[in-house]
Amino acid sequence: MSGKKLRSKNQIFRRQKVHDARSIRAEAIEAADQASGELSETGGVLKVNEFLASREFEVRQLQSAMHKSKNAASTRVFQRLPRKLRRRTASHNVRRIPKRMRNRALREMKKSDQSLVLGKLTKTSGKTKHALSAKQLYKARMAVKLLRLAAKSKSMKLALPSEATASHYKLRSRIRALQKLVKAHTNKQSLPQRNNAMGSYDSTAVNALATAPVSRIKYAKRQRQFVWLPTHVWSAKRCHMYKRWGYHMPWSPTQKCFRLTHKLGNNVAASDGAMCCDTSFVGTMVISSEDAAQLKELMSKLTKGRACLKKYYRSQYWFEGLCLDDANSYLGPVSILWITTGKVLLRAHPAIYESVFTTALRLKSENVMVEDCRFSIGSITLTGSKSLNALSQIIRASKDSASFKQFKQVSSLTDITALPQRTSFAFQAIDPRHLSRPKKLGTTQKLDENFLFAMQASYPEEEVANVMSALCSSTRREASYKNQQTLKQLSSRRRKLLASSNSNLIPFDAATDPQIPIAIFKQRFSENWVLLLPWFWLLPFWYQLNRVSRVHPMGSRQLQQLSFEQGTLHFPDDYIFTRAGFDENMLYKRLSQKALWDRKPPSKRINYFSIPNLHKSQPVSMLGEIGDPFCSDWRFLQILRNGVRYLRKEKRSEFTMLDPERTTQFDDLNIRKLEYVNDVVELYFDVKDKSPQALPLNVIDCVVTRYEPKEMILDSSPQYKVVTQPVSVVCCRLELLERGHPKDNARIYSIPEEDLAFWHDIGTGTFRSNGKRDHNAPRPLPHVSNLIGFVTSGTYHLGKGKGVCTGFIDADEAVANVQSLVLVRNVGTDVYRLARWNQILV
Amino acid sequence: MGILMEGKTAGLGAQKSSGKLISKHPTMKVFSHKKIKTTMYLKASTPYISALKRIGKLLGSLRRHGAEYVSVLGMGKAVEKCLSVACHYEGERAYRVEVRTQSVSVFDEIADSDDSEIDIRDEDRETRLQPRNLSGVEVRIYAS
Repeated sequence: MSGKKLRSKNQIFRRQKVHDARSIRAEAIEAADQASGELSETGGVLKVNEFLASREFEVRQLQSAMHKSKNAASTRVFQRLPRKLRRRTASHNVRRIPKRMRNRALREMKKSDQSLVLGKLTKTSGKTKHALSAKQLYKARMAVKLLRLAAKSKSMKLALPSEATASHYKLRSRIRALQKLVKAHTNKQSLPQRNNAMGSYDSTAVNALATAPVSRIKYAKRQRQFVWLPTHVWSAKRCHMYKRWGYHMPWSPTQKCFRLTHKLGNNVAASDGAMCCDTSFVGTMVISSEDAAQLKELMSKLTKGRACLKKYYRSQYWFEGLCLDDANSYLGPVSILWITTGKVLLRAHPAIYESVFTTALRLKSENVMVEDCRFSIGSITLTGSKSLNALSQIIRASKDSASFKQFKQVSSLTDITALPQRTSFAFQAIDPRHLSRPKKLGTTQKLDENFLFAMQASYPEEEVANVMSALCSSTRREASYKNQQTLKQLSSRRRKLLASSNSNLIPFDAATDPQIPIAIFKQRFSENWVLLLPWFWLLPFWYQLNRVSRVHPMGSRQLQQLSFEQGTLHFPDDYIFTRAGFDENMLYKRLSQKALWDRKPPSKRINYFSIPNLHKSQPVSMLGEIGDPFCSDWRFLQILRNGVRYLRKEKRSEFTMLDPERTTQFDDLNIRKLEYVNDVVELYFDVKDKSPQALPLNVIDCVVTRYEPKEMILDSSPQYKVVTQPVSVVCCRLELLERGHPKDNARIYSIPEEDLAFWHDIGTGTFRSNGKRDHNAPRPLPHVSNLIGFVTSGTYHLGKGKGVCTGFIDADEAVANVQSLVLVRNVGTDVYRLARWNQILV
Repeated sequence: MGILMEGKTAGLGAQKSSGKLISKHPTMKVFSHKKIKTTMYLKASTPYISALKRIGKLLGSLRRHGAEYVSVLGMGKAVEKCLSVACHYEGERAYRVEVRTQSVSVFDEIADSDDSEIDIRDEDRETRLQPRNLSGVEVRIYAS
């Protein structure tokens, strides 16, 4: 008996189908020879045209075979679905497959002898999950009564079988349990009073941090440390999630989307869709005061006066800039909007939200009120050419509104940068679920150049201020939840409507239906749109938004990718001059990278501690990667740069690694003398574990040409100065001039004087004799003291078609570096790549 | 915040009125799926071969979008490149090509010359829009 399993008829058919699809037709030379005559009659000369035609035929056949075999392989209907619609359980649960394909799926399941799973039907009528219906309550009450009666009445007892005694059936405990149930569901006092059936409410705190919104009891326990965003349940099915800064946020969609984000998310003419992200984790606070001067003073202190300039204060432009604490050190980027002169809205990343909040509380005078609206104002960030169009398909104003009219007109525009700096819309909207599905707004008049002027001239300042005040007031947000309807209520309204008319847009009833204050702002530097709305209204908008065609969800990873591609900094990863960004790099990322490396067996990981040919000469105790290999080691950079400046000041060579005749010298106080570069590196090891409180670097916030390097003042011991004085850095964007794929934490070097000519040639291109660029010529190595900075984020840039990175370099070296050329080397490698840098003004 | 200093403001073209030129706006484009899939905007810095490859791709998918031609648009400095692309498709590849000239209006963002706040960054200055007309060409490459 052979070991082969007998195939069913269906299996044989499928194998044959795949086999047919994979076979490629080709013209055999002999056959073609007679048929088309590729060769001349003597067989010595090739007929080029015929030969080409024949090969073309073959290429076509190959292509079609590839195409066919791909289709033939996808035998099941769920494999034909676009990836976006595929579900993990679709292979065995037909209810996971769109209705139009279910019959075919069932047929296929039968064919492959698969057991049918129909999945659970969600019950649309009858009981709800967590409360007893009136019927169930009645039954429970009756059950108690009947059980009591059965226990009491002798005649009834006699009628029961002999083994049915009270103790046998745990009668008492059952009665007790039932009574408890009845009591719990009749006691109306314990339920919180809400003005809607959905349980939405406003959770705002004044001059204190707000408590997280109460969600369904079932999920409450999981949210003690990390609050869920309104869209959590939706996102958790489609995205990788991560827990940081007190929130549980989407990191990146499970479906790969690097290219998609690049194509759709950027403001390019080829973008034909939009990406959206629930950014409710970005905290919002509302600061208000009766006394406008006091409020202005507070905001001025927070932003070094910038947020109080006329542009923002009077003309109400959306401000994006850095926030400072009371010690004048940078906290991180915030967005600020003046609603009136007495009220201002501030948005900050969750990593710094609490410190901004406490700073505001500390700095404010008595009359100023700081409201924490983290859990009461939600936001969606949209990017891509279809953003406004998609929003216009789901948002409808509740009443006649000038701002909505403008929005309607602008919604057909694709490019955010074509709009003026202050582009904002705010109006009262109706519940988006009134629309059965996203629906295009009717086309309005044609857009021309006069339109933008008209839009600026007739900017509805008053209306925007009114709606923004409503959005920023706790009572009015609460009021917007009044009569927020459940899906059930809405669909019953829709059913009634359909009985009498063809439209399924539920008409808005101003008397009972809620009106939602929403605002849409253009973020100029991030080049995206942000939609602000009350927390519990976010989810209905989100559901509708994701039903618009070519709108894709994204997570924090994509936000980072987009800001990288636009050449802007991403918080906190690129903001290493703030405490949050520094800790992110030096603690969080370093530890996770190190843990990853530690997990690998020694044979499978790079040995960072011994890499030959990295520099012209290597320090004695750093034979491999310089600085910590798992992060951008700013502490090392500080000590090295300060050490080099000290050596220069002392007229010593910054390039001599050590004196081979002698070991390190110590002075009378037993402190290491700084004579060679090796001594500086040793000094780093001395103080490495004693990390001081202050940040080792400060960023210069002016154009680098205006920066004047300061002399190193040695009032105390030079060693102390070298270790404590922060190094000034410039934020810059580097573009590789040749090959190379920079990665995070790559090292940036200045070019040694003697090798400048060589690297200059590399920049203009050195070529081999065959005219191709020579990438393999041996290259001179820099010195350790040429290290001037680190890359905070770097990768291949799809738009530029070359490696691009964001990094920070020593400001003194940046001033001296007139040609803007530096070298970039990835961690653990010995390949140096030439790059040109441009300053990014922070 | 996060402004890339690439000499953006340094070498910008002639200024009509007083006030510093902050940025140049792109042309206004209306969202239409068909247009996006059949239009190619050329910059002066677009590599020539990349443009040809891209147009080739657009030509290949014309039928799917129910369009007759691919339009290649270029203005200002890019006009020359646009026309050389047209020549390539007409002469070398024997496509039917139509060239149309047009005038494009774009906006410049000009900083208000307000003397009250002198020592501030450009990004903190209020701006106004100033229209500017440019000549451009549209090259229509018909699928033969």
